[in-house]
Amino acid sequence: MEALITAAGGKHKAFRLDPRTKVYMLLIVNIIMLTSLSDGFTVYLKPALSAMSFLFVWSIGKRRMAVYGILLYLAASREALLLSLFSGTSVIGVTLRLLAYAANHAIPGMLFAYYVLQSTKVSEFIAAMERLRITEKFIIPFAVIFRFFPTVADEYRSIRDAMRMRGISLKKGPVAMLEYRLVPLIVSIVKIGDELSAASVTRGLGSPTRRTNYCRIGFGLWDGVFFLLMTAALILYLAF
Amino acid sequence: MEKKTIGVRDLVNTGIFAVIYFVLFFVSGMTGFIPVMTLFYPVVLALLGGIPCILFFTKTETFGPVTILGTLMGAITLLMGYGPYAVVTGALCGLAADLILKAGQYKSWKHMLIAYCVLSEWVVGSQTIMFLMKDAYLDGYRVTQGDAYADAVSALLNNAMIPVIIALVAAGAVIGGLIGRSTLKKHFRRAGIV
Repeated sequence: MEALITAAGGKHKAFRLDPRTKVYMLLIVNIIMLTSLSDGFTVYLKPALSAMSFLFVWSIGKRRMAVYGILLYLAASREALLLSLFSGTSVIGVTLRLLAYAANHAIPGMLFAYYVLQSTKVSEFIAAMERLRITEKFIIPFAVIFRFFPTVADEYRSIRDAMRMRGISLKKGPVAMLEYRLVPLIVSIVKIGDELSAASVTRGLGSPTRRTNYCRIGFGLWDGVFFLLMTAALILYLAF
Repeated sequence: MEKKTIGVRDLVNTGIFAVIYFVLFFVSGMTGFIPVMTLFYPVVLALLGGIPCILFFTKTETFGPVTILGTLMGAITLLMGYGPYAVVTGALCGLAADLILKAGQYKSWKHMLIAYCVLSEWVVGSQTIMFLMKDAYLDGYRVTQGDAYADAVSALLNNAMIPVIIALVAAGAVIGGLIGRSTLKKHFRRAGIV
C-alpha cells in the first residue's frame, strides 16, 4: 500500500488524471483492443493505444513492468516472423499463435488497468464514484475490489511458495492443485475482509451522514485532452 | 428470524467474493484462447466458481448482495471491453438468484444450488457481443489463427448454440455447486469462517 500511495501522491503531482477519465480511457482501450478487427483504421489505432498504455505505466515509475509489456507486445505482433520458423500446425506453432493472440489483445488493456490501479488511491476512487452519484451499495464493493487486487496477488504468491515448500505441485493433479491453492486463498482473503469491514465501520463507512473526503478530484486540462482523444479514437474505430 | 438490512459488512463481503470470482473468471477466460473454448469457458467458470459462490451464499443473510455481485461482474466485463450486455444479464441473474435464495430463507441448500445455477448464466451476456459481431470476430481468427480455426469456430458460432451453452453452464454449475458444498464442509467450517 505504501508504494501505491507514494506513486499516486508523491512526485507526480504535475500530471494527474481524474479517476473518471482513467476509467473512461480503460473502457475504450479495452473495447478497441479486444474486439479483434484487423482491418481499416484499427491497424493504426491499436499500436497507438498500446504505446499510450506503455507510456502511462512508465510515467508512474513502473519502468520494468512497462518494458516487459512492450517487449512481449512487440514479440507478439511480429509473430509471423517466429511462426515462419515453425510450421503452423506443429505443436509449437499452435502454442505460439495462441500466446501471440492473447498477448496482442490483452496486454495493452492489462497494462492500462495496472496503471489505473497503481495510480489511483482508494479514497480518490470513492470520491469520483460519489460525484457520479452512484449508490453506496455499489461504491463499497467496488472500492473493496479495487483495494483487493494487489492483496489477492500477494496472498496467492505466499500460498504458492508455501505449497511449493510442501511439494504440492501439478504432479498431484489439477483438482488437488485447485483445492490446495484456492481454499487457503479464500480463507485468508475472507479473514482480511473481516478486518477490513471492522476498520471501515470504525472510520464511519455506512453511517447515515455524508462523509467528507480528503482527496480532491476534478477535471483539469489533461482530462479534457484525453477525453477528446479517446472519444475521437472510439469514433474512428466505429466509423472505419 | 429477524429482518436484517444490508450493512457495511455485507457490502465488503460482496466486494471480496467479487474479487475471487473475478479472478476465476479471468482464469477460465484464459482457456478461451483455445478457439472452441471461446464458447465454452462459462462452463469452466461455473465449475470453478462453485467454491467461492456457495461460501458467499452461506455467509449471506439478507436480500441484495447477490444482485450486487452479478451487476458488478457485468460492470467489470464492460470495463474489459466485452460490451454492455453482461451488465443487464448480471443484474437480472443476480436478482433472480437473490429471490431464489430469499425463498429458501438463505438457509436451504436446494435453493442455494438453484440460485448458483441461475447466477452462473450471467456470463452468457459477456458472449453476446461475439454472436452479434460474428464476422468481425471470425476475420480476426482467420488472420491470427488460420482458416482451419476460423471454420471450426464458424460452425459453432450460430445462434442455436446459445441454449446449448446455457444448458451446459447449468450442468457445470450443479457440479461446481456440489464441489463447493463438499469444500465448505471439508475446509471452511473447520477453519471457522462460516
